Amino acid sequence: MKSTEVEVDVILPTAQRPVVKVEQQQPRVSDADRATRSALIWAVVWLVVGTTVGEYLGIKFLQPDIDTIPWLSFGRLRPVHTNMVFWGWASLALIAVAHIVVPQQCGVRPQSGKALRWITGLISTTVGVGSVVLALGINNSGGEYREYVWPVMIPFAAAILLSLRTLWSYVKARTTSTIPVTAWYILSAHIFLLTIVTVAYVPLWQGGIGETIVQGYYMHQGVGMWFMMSMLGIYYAVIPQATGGRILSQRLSLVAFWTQIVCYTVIGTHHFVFSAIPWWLQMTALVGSIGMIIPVLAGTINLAVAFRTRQHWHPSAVLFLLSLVFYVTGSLQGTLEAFEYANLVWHFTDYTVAHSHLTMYGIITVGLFGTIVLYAPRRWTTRERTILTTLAVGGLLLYAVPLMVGGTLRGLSWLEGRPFMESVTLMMPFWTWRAIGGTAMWIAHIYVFVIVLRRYRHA
Amino acid sequence: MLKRQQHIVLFVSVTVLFVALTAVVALLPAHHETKRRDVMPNAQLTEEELEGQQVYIAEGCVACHTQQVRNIDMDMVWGKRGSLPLDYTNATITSALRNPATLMGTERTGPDLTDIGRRIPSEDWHYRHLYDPRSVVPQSIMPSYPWLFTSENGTLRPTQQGRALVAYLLSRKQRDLPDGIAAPETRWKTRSSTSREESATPTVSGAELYASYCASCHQPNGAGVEGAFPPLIKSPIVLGNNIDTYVSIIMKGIDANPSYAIMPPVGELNGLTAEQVVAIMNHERTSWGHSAPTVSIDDVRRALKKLQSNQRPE
Repeated sequence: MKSTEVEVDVILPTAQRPVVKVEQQQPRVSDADRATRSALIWAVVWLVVGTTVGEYLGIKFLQPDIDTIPWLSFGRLRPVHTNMVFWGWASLALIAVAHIVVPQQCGVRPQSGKALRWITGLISTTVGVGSVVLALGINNSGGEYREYVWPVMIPFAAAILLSLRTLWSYVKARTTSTIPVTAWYILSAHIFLLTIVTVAYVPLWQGGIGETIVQGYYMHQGVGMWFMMSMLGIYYAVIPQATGGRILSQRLSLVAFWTQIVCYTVIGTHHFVFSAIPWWLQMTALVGSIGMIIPVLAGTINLAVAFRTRQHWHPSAVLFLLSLVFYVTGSLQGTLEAFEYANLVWHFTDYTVAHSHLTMYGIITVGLFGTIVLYAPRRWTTRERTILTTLAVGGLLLYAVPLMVGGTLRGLSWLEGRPFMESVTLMMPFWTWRAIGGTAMWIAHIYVFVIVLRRYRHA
Repeated sequence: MLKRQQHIVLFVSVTVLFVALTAVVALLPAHHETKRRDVMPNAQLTEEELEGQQVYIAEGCVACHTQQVRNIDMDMVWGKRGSLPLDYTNATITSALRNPATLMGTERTGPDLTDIGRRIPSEDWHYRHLYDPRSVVPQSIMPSYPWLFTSENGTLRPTQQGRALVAYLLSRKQRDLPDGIAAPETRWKTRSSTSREESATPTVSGAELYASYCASCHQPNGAGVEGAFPPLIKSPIVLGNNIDTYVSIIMKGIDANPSYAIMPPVGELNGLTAEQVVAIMNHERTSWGHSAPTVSIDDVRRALKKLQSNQRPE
């Protein structure tokens, strides 16, 4: 079967690959490879633009009068940032990587890059048009992460459908004896995303607090059942490759996979504890949040064993390890935040902003940087990788830890019944640190952009 | 089972499980709430308020402001009771482009707005605040919204959008529940002041009351805002002996001086009691270097009675 060829190109860990030789020979770059590279370049473009917006928003906490241009005002720009990094960066990059790892794990060779090119175009259309529309003040009523109005989301949904169809064809044509774990996660994630977007955008069941119930469901399934599921699928492919180790057991993967679906799906309403939402739903969410400990620990143990049994250490491995650490800590932090007392202190404060960055950035973005390093046409030097890791992860910690401290102090101030404005002034130093950490992350993104562009052009 | 078909079995099972769970935790409860027949009385928004709500949505105010009072003690500064589903029955489909919106929000970077129309009922305050938030709240980090105003012959006027937004904000008053519906039990009694626990009466700390009801306009230091809200420092009304007028202004507001904004009936809107009014008055008479003799509760009760008996014709 052709899969042996794929192995030479992709599957073999870079450490065992005759890197220099391959470069000298100017290897034949397949159409699929080229499409993957252009998808990743576009994803990194959205990352740079999206975090430039984020950086500017962070500065506005310190300098609210920095501009008075309507389409640059905080309320309009915030969803531009979140949606751009969610859909333009993370989703597109995850899909691009999915189109490497799924065929690879299924032992089939991707035929052409046509589908991925379409996907890149469709997603970029949604993000490009969506951002302009948001800046003009047209949004879908402000439920987080579904601020794009539905016509804007159509190309995106089409892209997911197309991606699912393509990945499905790889799974169908698999040469492996079983369906690889990577494919369970990634294809399921696509199915979940299509479901939640439909539930979130059909208005029929969203009157009164029906809207809030759907919002809680949607915003959490988006992060957990799309981004996280996709990333977990990628972990199962890339971590063994980067370390040469193997996961602990297939059975544990099964436990992690199914408990994730059962527990995660029910926890959306933990964003609305003590609100007007039915009490039983709030309690279900709490039980599900506690239940999340099972898949998180199962998955972490499974993948940690691959690090322990390592045969080699690819430069990308450190990024995967950091991503995995953020996975276990960030997820357990999420469970903690669901409890009632934690809600008293942390809800509505910047603690949740810190949490969403520790997870969406620490897990997803750091993990994606790992795959970019792993599948780079030319190996990243140690210096390059160190600069990236230090700026990105160091910046994230400078961003998140002060917000966690400040958020806690703010919540305690509210609990004591102190005047509200006091809680605004007390945040100032923490907002300053957030801007400093954010700047480091932002520089990291420009750095990634420069390297990716240079690598992919010359490869 | 054929091995080749494994993937179909797997992904169909996954889909069925996910959709079933989705139905239980999202679709069915959401559908149930959508089909509610009861609506909150007197909560229908006017045409202009609805337009204002659209401006609120377009400007993304929900990114920083919640509109939900949680049924916990610490949230009782934002309303008198925890919010109920009934408070959100207004959220319906209003446009082919947009979902319904409860605008509950998930961040409280700025204050909750459930009851802002009662807490800060002054229209002029809201215009000033939208145009330049820091002119009335120096520590504020809210963006300013100059595009909701136009300049006519040198004077600033709100645009139709600006007027609509303020109308919407002023309509944000927590409604009284209809008969037969109980407010949710307030949980997690955490706010420290034990006096509140012991006495069932509302809070009577003059400083706290002043901060809640007066300080937005007259400022925490009593200095007011030039050209908008008069200073209370050395004010003849605050320091004088005409208790009737003083009480009347607190309860019913005033529109006497064209160089200042109209003062709305802050006391009546918030149902201030005689104990609360006297606490505010004595706070004002003894703060900021003042040392006027304190007012007695009996004087205030008398003044309140007089106010009730000779209602000014509206």
